[in-house]
Amino acid sequence: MKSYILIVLTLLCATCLEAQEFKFGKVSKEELAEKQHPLEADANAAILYSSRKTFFEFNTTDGWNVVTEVTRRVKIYTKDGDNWATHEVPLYQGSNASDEISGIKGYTYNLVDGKVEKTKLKKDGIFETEINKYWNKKTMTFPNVKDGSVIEYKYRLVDSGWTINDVEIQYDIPVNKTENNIRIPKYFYYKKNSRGYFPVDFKESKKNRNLTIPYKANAANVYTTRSKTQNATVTFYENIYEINAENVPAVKEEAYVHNIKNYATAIAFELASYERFNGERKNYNTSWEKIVERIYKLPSFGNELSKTRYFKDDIDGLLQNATTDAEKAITIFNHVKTKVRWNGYYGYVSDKGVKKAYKEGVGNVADINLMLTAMFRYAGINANPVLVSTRKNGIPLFPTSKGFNYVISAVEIDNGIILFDATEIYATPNVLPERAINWIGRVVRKEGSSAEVDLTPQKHATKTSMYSFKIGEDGVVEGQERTSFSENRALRFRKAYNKANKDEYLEKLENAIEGIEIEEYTVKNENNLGKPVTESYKFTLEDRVEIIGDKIYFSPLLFLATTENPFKSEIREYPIDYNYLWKDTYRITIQIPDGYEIESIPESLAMGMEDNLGEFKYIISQKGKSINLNASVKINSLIIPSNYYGNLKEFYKMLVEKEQEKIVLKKI
Amino acid sequence: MRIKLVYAIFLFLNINVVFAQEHLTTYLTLPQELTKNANAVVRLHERDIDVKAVDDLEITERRIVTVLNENGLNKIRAVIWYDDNIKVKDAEVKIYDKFGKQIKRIKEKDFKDVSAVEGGTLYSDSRVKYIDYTPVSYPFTAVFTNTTQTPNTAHLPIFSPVEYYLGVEKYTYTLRYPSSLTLYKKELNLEEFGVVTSDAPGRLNYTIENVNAIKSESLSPSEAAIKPRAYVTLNKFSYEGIHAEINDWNDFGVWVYQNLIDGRSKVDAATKVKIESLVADASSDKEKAKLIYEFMQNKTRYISVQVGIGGYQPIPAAEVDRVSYGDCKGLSNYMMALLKVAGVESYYTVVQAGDEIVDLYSDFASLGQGNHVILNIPNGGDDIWLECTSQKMPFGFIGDFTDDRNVLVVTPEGGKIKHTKKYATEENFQETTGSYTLNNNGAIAVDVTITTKGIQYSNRFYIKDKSDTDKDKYYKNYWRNINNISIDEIVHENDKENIVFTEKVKFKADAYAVQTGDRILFAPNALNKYSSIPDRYRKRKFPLKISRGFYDEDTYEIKLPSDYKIEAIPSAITLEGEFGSYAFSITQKDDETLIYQRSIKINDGEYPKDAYKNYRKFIKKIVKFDNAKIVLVKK
Repeated sequence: MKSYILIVLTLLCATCLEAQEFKFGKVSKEELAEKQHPLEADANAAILYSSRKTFFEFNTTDGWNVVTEVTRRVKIYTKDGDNWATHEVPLYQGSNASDEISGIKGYTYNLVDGKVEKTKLKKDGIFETEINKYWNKKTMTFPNVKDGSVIEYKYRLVDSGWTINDVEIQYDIPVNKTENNIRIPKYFYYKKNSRGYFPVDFKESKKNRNLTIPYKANAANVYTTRSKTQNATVTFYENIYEINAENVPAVKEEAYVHNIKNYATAIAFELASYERFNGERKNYNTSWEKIVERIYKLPSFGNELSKTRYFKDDIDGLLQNATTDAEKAITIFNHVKTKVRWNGYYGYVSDKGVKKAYKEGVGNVADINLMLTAMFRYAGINANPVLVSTRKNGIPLFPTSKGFNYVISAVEIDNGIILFDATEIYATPNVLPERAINWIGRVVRKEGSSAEVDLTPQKHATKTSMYSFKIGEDGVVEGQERTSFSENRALRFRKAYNKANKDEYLEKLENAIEGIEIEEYTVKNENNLGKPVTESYKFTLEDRVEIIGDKIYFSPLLFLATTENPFKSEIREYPIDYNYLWKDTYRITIQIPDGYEIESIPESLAMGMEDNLGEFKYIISQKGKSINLNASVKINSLIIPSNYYGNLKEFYKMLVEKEQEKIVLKKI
Repeated sequence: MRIKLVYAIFLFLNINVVFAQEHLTTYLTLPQELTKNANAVVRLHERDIDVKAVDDLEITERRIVTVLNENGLNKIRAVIWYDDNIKVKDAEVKIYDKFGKQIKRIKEKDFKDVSAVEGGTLYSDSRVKYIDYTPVSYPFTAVFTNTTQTPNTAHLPIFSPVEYYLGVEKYTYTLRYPSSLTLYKKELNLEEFGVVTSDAPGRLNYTIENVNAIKSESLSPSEAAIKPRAYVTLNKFSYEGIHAEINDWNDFGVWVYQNLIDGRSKVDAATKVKIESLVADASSDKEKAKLIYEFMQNKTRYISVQVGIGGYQPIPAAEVDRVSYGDCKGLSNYMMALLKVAGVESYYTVVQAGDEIVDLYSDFASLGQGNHVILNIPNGGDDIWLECTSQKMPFGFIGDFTDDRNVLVVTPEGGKIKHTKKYATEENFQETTGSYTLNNNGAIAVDVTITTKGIQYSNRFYIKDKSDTDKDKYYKNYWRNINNISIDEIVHENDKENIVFTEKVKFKADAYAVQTGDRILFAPNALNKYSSIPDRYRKRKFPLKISRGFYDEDTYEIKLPSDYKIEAIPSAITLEGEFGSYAFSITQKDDETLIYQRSIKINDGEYPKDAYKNYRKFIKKIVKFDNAKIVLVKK
């Protein structure tokens, strides 16, 4: 029997009212004549109006589907706004669920000789292309677009996987008005999380809906004895969310931001539970505990943790001589890092299974770190996996399963916790690759319980350099340096150095420092992770000391001085996001040339940022013909909120000025 | 007896083949010399191209690569581009560990297979298969084998064995073709690299052996000019079902015109009327062309669409007229159609576009050359070139995307090689004038005007359309030698008639000058400092090439703080040399006012590799003089 769909729309009136203001197809002359955006004059384009309605449809073959209807009007001000005349819709094509798009309608409007000219988006402007196995992309390219054009489109998207796409409020162009109406039957419960800074108008209400469902009555039914198709009407309430905003400013890229999308305002919906008509209920995620429990129960998570047979013999052999837990942990960590390579794929669930990954020597994040955890446990170490959201994925502020996309391993000891990530060959205990250092993670214990884990490294990553300079009468500087790196500074150095062609690495280093020639370049412990990695070389440096008349001028930091303030813009919207806490130290000894005496040296200085977010020290002293300088910069917070921006900029301004100050030598 | 011998030889050969393969899949037999500067080494690449008939081409590749480190991963080249016309057979990759033991086999079905649509391209039927392999350890060896078959014989793979950071143990290239066809080839730098060539009717072979990895060097000629390469084409070929006979660029032009362009230049009556009325008052063809070019720029936008005879055929003009977008071919053809309405003659022109200047070979015609289309207006011998994909370029200006190179101009009578506009050193001019006041606390207040022409214009005019925040960013970066800039005013003027861009900027900056006790130090050249010294090479391999020259003139008036006097001032300098010239001088106008004047000219040209050192010295001097300081002392 062919099924049919019947939807009773009880909200018709409300939608009629909205539609009167921005009616599809009725673009005004004023909109077309507008030369620039009234609030953001430099905007290349703007969303004049965006409407989205998301609701649930029911039919007897497929059951519930999520339908989203989008209508949008976009103004193109300049040629650089042209990319907004092409709109793309990603379509998921999975085996269990897929997206379908229909009812695409689009027009371009132009003002020609004072009249509105309308051009239709035809079939030849609509393409569907395959991106990969799971995703296709529908592209609409609007015809006849010029400076001042307005384009308008609408389409309908059906999602059988019950995914409600994020309600995006803010973009990289201004949005004049956005209205979003999400109607969810009482059978579904979605958690709502918002991100970004721009305030939205969020209204919640309830309304009844009637749904007529054809069914085949069967013998078990007490009301009938015959099998026959009948109609039943179900009445239930729907939760209605109206999310509206006006005059939303554009989000703009800034330096020291990991993912600008984290700051654009949007509301995310995540399915938490679903109830059948018969009252049978299926829970998804409602709290961190529930989410963790669900993840723990996934075969590709929990089961993978309990397998031991595939590594048993190898680990037994390796641990023969290890006595302490620390020795065992390091041995296992090194074994996994060298035996199994990361294939670049994220995820907290195992992809091909730990056993296969171990055998092939390749796996995703979960393959590697779940295997690591299992081995730790096998060796009697109290280890648990920790769910993480990478920096690109955003900060997991609210309990959602999308919130996580990564997993590491934690060993709990009496006085704390040690974190391990075996996907990075140069990682050491408690030193995670930068992608994983993101706020807090959640440790998943054996029984499925969980707790927060702070992922921010407690120790500063340091770079400590010792230099000795000898300045010649001709201004040529001869010297030597030795630098050691710790924590993430060491990780970063090892990664860059070990990957590089050695000749070229040296050439790049030389070319980066104006006037330097380097000799005897040596690196120690680049692969011995148990010891600090150090770099040392000898050098000569030209043209960095100025001889003017009978005086010599130079900054004691020579080529090490910070010459540019990294913070140039006047205002800052978003926090400054550092990769880790860090400290750079320079200990410098300078020998002045014969026949000269010191006329003046800069004054010592120590300064701190507000709330101890950063500090700068510059301690200088002289003794006979030598000058000693101890300079250091320290940043004490991973994230510096934007209200400290002025302070940070000023901090760097003073730092740059200080480091530029000169020592003056005078001919005797 | 005789049969036995043949058998024995055959057997022997067979053993040899097996041995050879084993020998190449282990790192242990790799000649160490080849690993120097290399990220990977091609142990053996056999490229066999078999043109069985005019419309039947089979390409078989076998490539054995030992990958030494992560950067060498992309040298495996297990990437297969294909479309509806290309059949892929027997693609496979085998991976061997350091000792030559096979550790993995990736069959064709395990290759990733995705649409080869780039960002910005709307639609394309090309697809790509590639492997996604994570090495367990380095070094390892990959053996890639693949055969493809296609009826398109227009594009024959090229011989290009040498790449940067790649050692080559052996590379053989064999082309078999029906001896009834004529082979044309363009060979470059083969002798320099010791390539052994054998050229018999119906069979061409190149073999190269034991080439050490080469490093890329900045300011060197284009890759095509310095590496061994050979391009080949046959006089008869088939393309998307179209048969062609092409012996030279003239034939090629005829073919392109007849098969790809002719009949695609019609526009409807309404557009005709519009164009006719647009140019009604124009007195010359040039003026008409300019009006139409601006009309076209306002009407259309650039979008990449790879359809129509394998991406070689322009969208019909009527279609572009209707939708107002197109790719380089569609927009150039549309412009040509509009010019035709106004009676202005113009030609579709194929060019290899890009910042790097690459010529079409005037003595070798093939479909594979060129990646872009522009338009040529003969204009009675004074050629005008039009870039039709830009909505902002001034009329007749092509910038550094298609300048100074051999291009193919397609006319109904045939193809002609012409050379595009070269922007000479003096044309690429920048003038910086203005004044700044130095405060006794080291701060400066600046009022500066910069005008640019030629290639320098094309590097600048786009700033006008940046957002206010980006303009702010741009200038703070342009003058990154000055800290703490706060910008008061930015005024831009883009004079498209004369192709001159003017920037007027006013800004203040704290602590430009360094204070040391009673003294103030500062570099008088605050506004146009040359700071990039070319990289140093211990052993330079390639010639020095400066593709485009430039010429700058600067004049600033500097107001000094009244409570300071001059203690030391740099003396005037003039440098003259084969690479260009440089001069600066500081003159005192009155007690508190200095005039700083500077000029720098760098000529374009190609010089032998030994000249690189001297060029570097020359630039180092300029950087040093640009940095020279004035010392003021408290009165």
